[in-house]
Amino acid sequence: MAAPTKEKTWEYDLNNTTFADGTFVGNAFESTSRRLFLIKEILINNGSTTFTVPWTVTSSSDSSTAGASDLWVDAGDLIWRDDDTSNVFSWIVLRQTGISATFELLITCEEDNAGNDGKQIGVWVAQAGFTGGTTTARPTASDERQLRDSTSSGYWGSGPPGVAYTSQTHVWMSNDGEITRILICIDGEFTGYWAFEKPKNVVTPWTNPYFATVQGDSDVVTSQLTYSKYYDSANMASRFSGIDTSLYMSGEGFASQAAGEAVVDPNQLTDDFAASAIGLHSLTSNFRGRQGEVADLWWGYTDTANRVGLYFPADGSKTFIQIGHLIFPWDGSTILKVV
Amino acid sequence: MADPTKDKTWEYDLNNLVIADGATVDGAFLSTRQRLFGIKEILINNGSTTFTAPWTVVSSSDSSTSGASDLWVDEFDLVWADDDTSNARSWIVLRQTGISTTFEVCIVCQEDSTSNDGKQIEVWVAQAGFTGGSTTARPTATDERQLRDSTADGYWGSGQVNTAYTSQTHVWMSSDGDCTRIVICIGDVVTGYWAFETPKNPTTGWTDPYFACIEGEANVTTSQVTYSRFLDNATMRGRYSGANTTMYLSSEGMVNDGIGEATGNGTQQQNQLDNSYIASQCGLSSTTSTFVGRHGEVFDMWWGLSFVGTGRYYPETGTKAFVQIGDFVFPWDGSTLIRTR
Repeated sequence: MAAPTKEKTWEYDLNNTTFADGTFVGNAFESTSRRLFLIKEILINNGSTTFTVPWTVTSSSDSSTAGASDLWVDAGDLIWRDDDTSNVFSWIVLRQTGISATFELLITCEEDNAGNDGKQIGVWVAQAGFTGGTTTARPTASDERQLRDSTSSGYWGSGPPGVAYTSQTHVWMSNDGEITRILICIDGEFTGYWAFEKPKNVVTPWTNPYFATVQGDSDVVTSQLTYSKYYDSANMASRFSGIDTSLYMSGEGFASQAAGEAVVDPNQLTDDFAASAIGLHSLTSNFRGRQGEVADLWWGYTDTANRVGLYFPADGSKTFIQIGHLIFPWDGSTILKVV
Repeated sequence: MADPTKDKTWEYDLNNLVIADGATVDGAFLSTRQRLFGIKEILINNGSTTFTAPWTVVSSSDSSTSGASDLWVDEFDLVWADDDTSNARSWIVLRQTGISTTFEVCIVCQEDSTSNDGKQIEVWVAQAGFTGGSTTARPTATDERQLRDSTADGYWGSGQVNTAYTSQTHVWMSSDGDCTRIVICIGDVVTGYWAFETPKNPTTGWTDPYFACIEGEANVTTSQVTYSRFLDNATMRGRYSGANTTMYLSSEGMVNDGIGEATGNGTQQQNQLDNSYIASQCGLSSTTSTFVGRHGEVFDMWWGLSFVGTGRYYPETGTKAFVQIGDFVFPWDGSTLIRTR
């Protein structure tokens, strides 16, 4: 495909360094708490960028108090607990009206073992509004959709327990608030990918559409931006008509592979760098079919995936960047993956 | 995806019946000769439809004479020869200027054994113009691209040897001549698929672009219009910069499949929200050295849902503007597709 045209106006808060600090505070490494706190700060415009449509905090808990305000004043307010206890813990609910009037994200500081150093969290999204919540119980919503389960898949990009890491955090937000993407890099790898998005060109019956993911693994060697993660697995989550759904990020393909896997380098005639636009396809019962598309994100060629800072086009404007197997809008700066 | 908008104005010559006739004349069953002759006749506007941009005959041989005229006057002018002999044989060169000024297809009546009943042919396409040719030798072109090889894969949709079949032949042609498609159905199966086309949105640098195929097998049970045939294999053929190329008909996909294959994983059905049946447009992707990449798209042809099968119209009633045949969705004229007599 030819070099794409961006549909959105993008705003960026990039290259946010969190230095490794193994000090153990609130059941988590200090640097892990700071990393998660930083994400919250960036989303609500306390980062270096002023987003046009930032997220807002609707409620939170710092483990001492819970209420309808932002109690995460600094990283020390993030207190983890073992998720099979009734201990106090921290949580926060953030709202993004660009996706829908009450699209909300709930992050809970819980892990399946109190010795996991904050490397796990629980995450839900909902559109009906999270209500309730105390210092010992998270808020709930009637249409909540779990993205991370601290009992099984709570890793969020901070790596495995037992080691403190230095990281770079990058945040994209469209100026209409419809799309937020977060990338965490550790040791030169893309260890965490979070996305909260309104899809484009959705089929008519899918009202208040969204898809979201929070991806990470218990290591710092697995890229979270791969064909394997989203083309071969339905790792985008959503809801339709009262049921949880999951979605693949489809792309053009042939010979039992995506085009960017079957042909690992750019087009030999045109040097096009993007392999395919991205669709949203589900096999969830009652939601089966291609239900929409992803705006301003493209599948790339796998052979170019691990070249540090592969920017496009070649004129130096760096308006796109390939990160892992995906191509994102970019602001022309130089990406930092390691310090 | 929702029902698409057609890029082209389509003309059709559909449901052309050939009745099985096992009389063997000059190395071929009579019905086989009629089937191939019938295709030629339709392409040059001697069928029931008057195409706006028909093919023309450049030269031919009826095995007795060869020259710059149409010597295939009736099916008895099609005479097959064993391809490892120098016996006289029939051939014909047809031109379609809609693809390029001298885009030509050369069909030769030869097979790898004289007992193959005309079930094999050789086919080449070229854009430089076929020249020469006699009653014992086919014409050649400097840029010819072989589509069927009578020594290896000469089957063209007429089924296997030793059996005469009744068939239905369907021909699509865009009014500008850019696209010609031919489907042969025997016993409810699409046994032959021929295509000669200009691609849509070809990459800059691919001058005089075309892709073509003639698909058939030595049986009447294998559909020639499947994901397996065109998505999983580079079956479309073309040329680029003096070299032969092959192309896949790519599709939007996920996991290991086109989305029309993957939908449902055994419990396939249409989109459960909007009831759409058409899965994806067809792209053209190549892994041929020096031609690697996605180089265009196919006009007005889409991958369908594989569970649907041949004979489903979209919309189901009324205009029937599209029809699914095998795993593909084609433009349609609203008539009823006949696959078997």
